[in-house]
Amino acid sequence: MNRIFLVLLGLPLALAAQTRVVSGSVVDAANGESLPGVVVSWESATKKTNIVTNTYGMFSLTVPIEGGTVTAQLLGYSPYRYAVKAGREGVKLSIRLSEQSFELGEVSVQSQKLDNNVKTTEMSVSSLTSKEIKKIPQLLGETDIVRTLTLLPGVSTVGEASSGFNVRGGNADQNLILLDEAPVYSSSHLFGFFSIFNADAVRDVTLYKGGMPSNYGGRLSSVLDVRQKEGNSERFAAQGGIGLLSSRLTVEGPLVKRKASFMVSGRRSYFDLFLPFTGNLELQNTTIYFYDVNAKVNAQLSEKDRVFASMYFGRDQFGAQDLFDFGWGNWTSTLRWNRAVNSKLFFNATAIYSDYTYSLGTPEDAVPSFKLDSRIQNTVTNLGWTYYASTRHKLDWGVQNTYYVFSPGKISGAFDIALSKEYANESALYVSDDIKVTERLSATAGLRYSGFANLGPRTVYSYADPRYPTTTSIVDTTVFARGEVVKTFVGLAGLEPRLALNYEVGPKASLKLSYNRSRQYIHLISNNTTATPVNVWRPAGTYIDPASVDQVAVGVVQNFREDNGIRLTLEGYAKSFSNLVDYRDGADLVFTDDIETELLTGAGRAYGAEVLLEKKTGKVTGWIGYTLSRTERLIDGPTRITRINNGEWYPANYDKLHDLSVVFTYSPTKRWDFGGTWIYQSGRPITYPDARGEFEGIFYPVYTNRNGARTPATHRLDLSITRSVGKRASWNFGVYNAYGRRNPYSIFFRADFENPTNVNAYRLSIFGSAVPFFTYNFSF
Amino acid sequence: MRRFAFLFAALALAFTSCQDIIEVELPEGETRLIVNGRVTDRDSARVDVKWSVPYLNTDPNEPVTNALVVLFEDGVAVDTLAHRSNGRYLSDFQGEVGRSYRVAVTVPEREGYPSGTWTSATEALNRCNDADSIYSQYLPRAPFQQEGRYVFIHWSEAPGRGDHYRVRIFRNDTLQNQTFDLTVFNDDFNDGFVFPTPPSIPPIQIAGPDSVGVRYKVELGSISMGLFSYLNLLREQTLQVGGLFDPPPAPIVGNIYREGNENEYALGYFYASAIRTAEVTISE
Repeated sequence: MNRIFLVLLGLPLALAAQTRVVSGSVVDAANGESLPGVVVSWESATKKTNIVTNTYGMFSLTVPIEGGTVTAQLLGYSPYRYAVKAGREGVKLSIRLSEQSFELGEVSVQSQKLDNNVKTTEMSVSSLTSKEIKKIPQLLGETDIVRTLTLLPGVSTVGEASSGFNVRGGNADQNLILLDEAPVYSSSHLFGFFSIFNADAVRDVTLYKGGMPSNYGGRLSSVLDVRQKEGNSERFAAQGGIGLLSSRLTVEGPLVKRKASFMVSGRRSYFDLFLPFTGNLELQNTTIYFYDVNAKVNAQLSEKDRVFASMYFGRDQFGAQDLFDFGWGNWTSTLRWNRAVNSKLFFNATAIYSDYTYSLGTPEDAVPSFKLDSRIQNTVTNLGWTYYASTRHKLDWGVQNTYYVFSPGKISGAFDIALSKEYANESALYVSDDIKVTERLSATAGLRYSGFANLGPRTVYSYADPRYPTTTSIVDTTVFARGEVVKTFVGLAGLEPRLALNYEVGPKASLKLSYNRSRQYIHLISNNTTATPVNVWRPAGTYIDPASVDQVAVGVVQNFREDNGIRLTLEGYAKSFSNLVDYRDGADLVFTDDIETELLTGAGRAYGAEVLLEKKTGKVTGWIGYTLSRTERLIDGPTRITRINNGEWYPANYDKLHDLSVVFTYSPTKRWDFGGTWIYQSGRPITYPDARGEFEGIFYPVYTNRNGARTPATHRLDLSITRSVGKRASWNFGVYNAYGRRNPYSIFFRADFENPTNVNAYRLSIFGSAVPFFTYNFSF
Repeated sequence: MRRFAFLFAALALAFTSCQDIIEVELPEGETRLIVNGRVTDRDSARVDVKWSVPYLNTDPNEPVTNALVVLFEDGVAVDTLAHRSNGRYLSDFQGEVGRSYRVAVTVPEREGYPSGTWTSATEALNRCNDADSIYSQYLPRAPFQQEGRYVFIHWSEAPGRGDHYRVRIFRNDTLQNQTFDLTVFNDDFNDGFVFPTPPSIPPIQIAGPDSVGVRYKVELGSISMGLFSYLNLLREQTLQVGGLFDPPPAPIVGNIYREGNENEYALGYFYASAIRTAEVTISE
């Protein structure tokens, strides 16, 4: 390790002589969108090297002064070549990549070397563009980014229609979900049926399941980095879709050609408009809908400066019978400034505001009226630098700060009462170096340091045994003033080392190894099987410690065929969690101020093996993903109520031994696309009663073993057909759950009213039959 | 267009979830002792002792007929309850407000279950006010209210926070005893409220709508915070199940433990209660 740091400090100076810099940016020729992830290579008599464009499409290569060729390649785009003459001057390139037309596809793809997966240290990472996602059959024809990600190994959900997703044994609250760098707290609409990401407004999505770069932090298990489109800077364009459930429209275009552009996108579901026709009185007065708006503008202020402003606003509304209204949604806004300080140094400053709210109550004019509001607000500032020190080093460093305001609950109406707000600040510094140690061995070594402060005003109770607070053991109360520090988490425990290694065994194969430690200072407090919009987030503080995880992953990548069009990725991982929060047996988490009395903390472990076989080129594309995994929790304490399952390991809610996904798209001609997915998942843990108790003639189930049983397995086939009509429109037909499998969402027991010892087991399925769908998509 | 609307509506229905009965194999957990009982200031003390059965078993829980059941008042043994029938042990002993009670149950060995003594936590017999009045009243149809005759009581809460209560309703001498009949409340928001001085507790609707001539008896009983939490959990665990956002299954643990080991519990609850009753027959 010491040697690496010495090398890291010394190399930039040593290599300064006899080299020059080729730098620039890569954009999509059709719409001017910057293209991240493009492999830019240099080839000359004495030197062969390459680099990948950063999130903003920028690159910098240090090359010899001799003449050579620059190549830029990205899957789905025709490669770009440029001959650079010998000379000492640096070279600045504005590269515009054009999409491959279908007929050229087979030929030109073969000329590309899509071997980025073999060359980089990245592992446990899945990147998808919205184009790829749109080809996969989707529930009711709604292109859904999160649902698509769950088809990849290591990513799962508790069940159909569950909010959030689970990555490698992590809770749904352990995913850092970023939309243009802004944290998002609820990633789904309609209780989990749809994700909040409108695929038309999204440029690309990257999911880190492990080996997280050090610029990401604050969550244990994954980073889902979603970038919105910047807007077409070449011409005005629009696209949209009309579906059974919802419609969407995106408009984009230049404000100043090739200098400034905008994008606005909106969706609205209208499922509820058809409810009056059902003839069902209860459904007739039900409202259930969501809408969201994405917008972004960007402007090239000078050769060196570019600014972006983007926002997202989404809302779900659910009401019934004039009895209650329930609404929730995210609002995020991001301001970003990119500056190419010189040909080697890039600077990025970002200011973000994110706001998640929900409210629940009677309609405003009801008597008596009741309204519960809950909210979490974040203000984030990020400063980051990227320095392309030499062909062997790329350095990233930066500083990040997040200020949180948690408003867990406020009731107004017939009476007013509020839970205390909580305030907190999280800061982090990070540095990371991409090192080419030898021609075959590359490494990304990073270090992140994070610290957290829980701030006043707040009233904190002291308990007889502070490790196991109960409502009846309060011995003292301390009042903290505004801004006063209630509790800090600083010190060595805030160090989060990250390391990723890649060793190229040959031109088509590599071995990978990664380690990362992450810390999480905020927890989602939930005792539902799946997270719900009404769950509240609480910060670490006097009684809740930050959680942390160590993850080690090993992997093998093997590409097949001349064009690397078939890829096999094998990965194994092991994770050890500490200070995970779980609820006590019988906990009441709703509107509870001293939440520490309802929670317990403990350890977790997760381990698994993942196989991903992808076919990226040709008429048939797709993947087969398989995960074999275990996820368990351990909560032990001195007394019965401070333990779960007698202090023994028990499976987490989303522990599934087998998880298999088969995804394919067949495109025989330009007009037709056929898509299919099939999934199989082992049953999830469930708690079954193992005896019948009785209290004064009322019978009740006795539970002694949390998550001790399993639901039956889940499997499902989805099919879709897309037929293009001309160049600018298409019909998408399909069927979700094609063979009508009744997958269990939950299994529960209900006693006969007349004869209470007669109990039946019921299966609740979200989809009881095959669900057909169609959507008309257009663009102009 | 109408046909289209029908199609959409059909899809909408298809979209809703479905429930069906399935066969499930449940783990056969160990047999547990169940001890339920109470001592009140108005009627005889009683304790029911039974063994639990597997959850899907349709037989009643198995009575324990040879247990030794001893009642303690303020730590002193005051009576041994005699087995009457079906696992029910009775005594003529009546409690007093301000004193505290517990029960000790010694059961002989049973297959897989060593003999031993089980004891309840000590429960205070707290105060309870009488109902001020009880009456029936005709109410017209209104939102969320059917037309008909309803039964109400007026009641005043004793000053001083920390009181918990349970209400039991007898219709023509039959206890209304479904899960949703479990009614408990505390004085968090009405401490010391006296009827009719504002802020007073509004008339409490006990029953209805029901027919003329039906007799209602209300039993108001003081209970401990422990029983209050226990009954809330029991109600939640038996009533709210199966929905997407319902609370997860939880063990319903009362206040009966193996003597000397608080971590080993039996099922059920023993409590002390001051009970006050009021009766009315619904009239024209």
